[in-house]
Amino acid sequence: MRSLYEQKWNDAVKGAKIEPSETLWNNIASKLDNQKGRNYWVTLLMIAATITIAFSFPLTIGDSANSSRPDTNLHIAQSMNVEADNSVYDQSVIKNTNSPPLAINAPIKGVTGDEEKNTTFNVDDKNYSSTITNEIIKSNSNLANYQYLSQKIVVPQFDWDTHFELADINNHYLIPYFMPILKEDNNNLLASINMGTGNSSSGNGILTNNTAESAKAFGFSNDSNGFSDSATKNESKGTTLYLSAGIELPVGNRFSLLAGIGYLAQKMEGNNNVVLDNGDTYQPLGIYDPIMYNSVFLSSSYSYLATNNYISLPISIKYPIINRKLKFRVGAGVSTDFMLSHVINSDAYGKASYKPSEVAYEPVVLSGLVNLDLSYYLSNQYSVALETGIRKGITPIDKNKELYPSSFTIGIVLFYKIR
Amino acid sequence: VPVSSYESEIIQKCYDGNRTAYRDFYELYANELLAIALRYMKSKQEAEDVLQDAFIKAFKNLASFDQRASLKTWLTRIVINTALNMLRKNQKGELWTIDKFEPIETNTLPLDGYNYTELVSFIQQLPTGCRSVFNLYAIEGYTHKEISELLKISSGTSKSQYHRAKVLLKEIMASEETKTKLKVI
Repeated sequence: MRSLYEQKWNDAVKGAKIEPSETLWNNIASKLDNQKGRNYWVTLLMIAATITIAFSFPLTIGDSANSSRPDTNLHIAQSMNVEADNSVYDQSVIKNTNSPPLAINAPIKGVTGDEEKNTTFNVDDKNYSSTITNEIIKSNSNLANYQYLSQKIVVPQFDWDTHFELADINNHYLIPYFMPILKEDNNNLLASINMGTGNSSSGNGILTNNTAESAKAFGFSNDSNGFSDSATKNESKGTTLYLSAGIELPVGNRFSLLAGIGYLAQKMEGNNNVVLDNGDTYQPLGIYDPIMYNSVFLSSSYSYLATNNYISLPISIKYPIINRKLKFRVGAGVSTDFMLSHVINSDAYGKASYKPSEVAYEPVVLSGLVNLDLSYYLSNQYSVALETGIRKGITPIDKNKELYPSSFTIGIVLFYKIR
Repeated sequence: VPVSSYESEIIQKCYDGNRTAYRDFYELYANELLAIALRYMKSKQEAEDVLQDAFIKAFKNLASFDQRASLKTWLTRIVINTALNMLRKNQKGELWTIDKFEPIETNTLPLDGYNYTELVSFIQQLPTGCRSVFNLYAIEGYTHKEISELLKISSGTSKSQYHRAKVLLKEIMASEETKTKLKVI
């Protein structure tokens, strides 16, 4: 209980007023300008130059761990004029010289009966002529998407002394077609490769080995020919590089909106045994790339680094949890990424850059962003932040809608106050 | 007492970054708050330092102010806390000395003969610890329990400091009275 003593003091001094000196408001106003500047790291226009080095989770969730192309990628198309190329004999590869198939995703049609074709080929600088008889059997199953081509090559002018094993060859080809780059367009290039299960009727020819290896690489198993899938075809996590510049605008009293433009490079490491034949050189391909006309199956895999390059337009909302000299903010947003190129770099076959229209990746991808940043004011104009975040694909990056990239990022952000 | 419509209007303008509104806000309460700060500090300069920091805190945290509460009470609390923090920061050595004092009769203490400036000057002569407790208990109306939580001291310390303040004030006022008499003579 308050006594009379306290009451007397309270009455005597409570409610008194003393006029401050003139300089007090000026000092407060001056401090406010500085303070305002600090607060307005959130609420005023800012420019943010962001440099982020990201360590990625496996590039894709789900199918990323698959070491081979999913069966759903297989699409049957029409095959015509399949023939053996002399490279089958000369090199440790099987080469597809088919014309691009006529239809996209179309069921097998119009291929009936046998056809006979004369061709010439070269073995050890010697020209041979042969007659090839094709017998094509199509699959009626939706699951077994292949055509079976039985090919009999007759070599009438054969040198028995040196090429005994090449006599009277019977090749059997399984011909799957898969992964259209774009659907519903007759002008599209459809991936196609002939996958041989060839054998030789006389001896263990080179052809047998090569075709067998290619079949293995393709992941196809044919017990009757003793094949098993042992070739390495995979793609795994890599790093992501992100560079951007942005502008931050106030939204209400606490929130801020960050919009920017950036360069995003998502890298994946992989192994493949398919290349493109450019005539003089082979061009590397990633395992998620379509196997195009002039694709070549190698008998062994090569390693590569695939990079998807994007122009990135992120937009996110940030909210400060701690808003002092040391600031802690949470943010969430969306990034729209426009693909610039898909680059495959390998030690063995050099570097190849593909345009978005040439590969089976979506040209525009949406990703969700969630991040935390811890920033510190270096001066009135500059602050620096450590930012961590997760980028997760909202839309798939590939046309088969299988790959949703996800990456964890940690980076440095430099803020510069415009005003 | 909730904020008036005028206060509410000023606060809204402050939200919008209106510089004039900041000035209006300051002018509305600066005089009264300076008088409070002056009781805690030893000089007007120190009190203005407190007021400066308090206003900056208030502007910065205006968004967290609940407009159903009293703006004056909210600002007073900021000023008191700022003053106590500053005292704590500036204090060298022991802030709280526990002394034993004999009970004194203070209810008959005549304050009527002194003006505000003189009374404040008496308070300012108190040592920091008991000055704070005196202000909080006798003038702001805090309980010893509230003071103990605010100053992070025991309730007993708060009581002894308050008692000490009263004794010292009596001595100071007696001394001032003697000086005045001597001047008259």
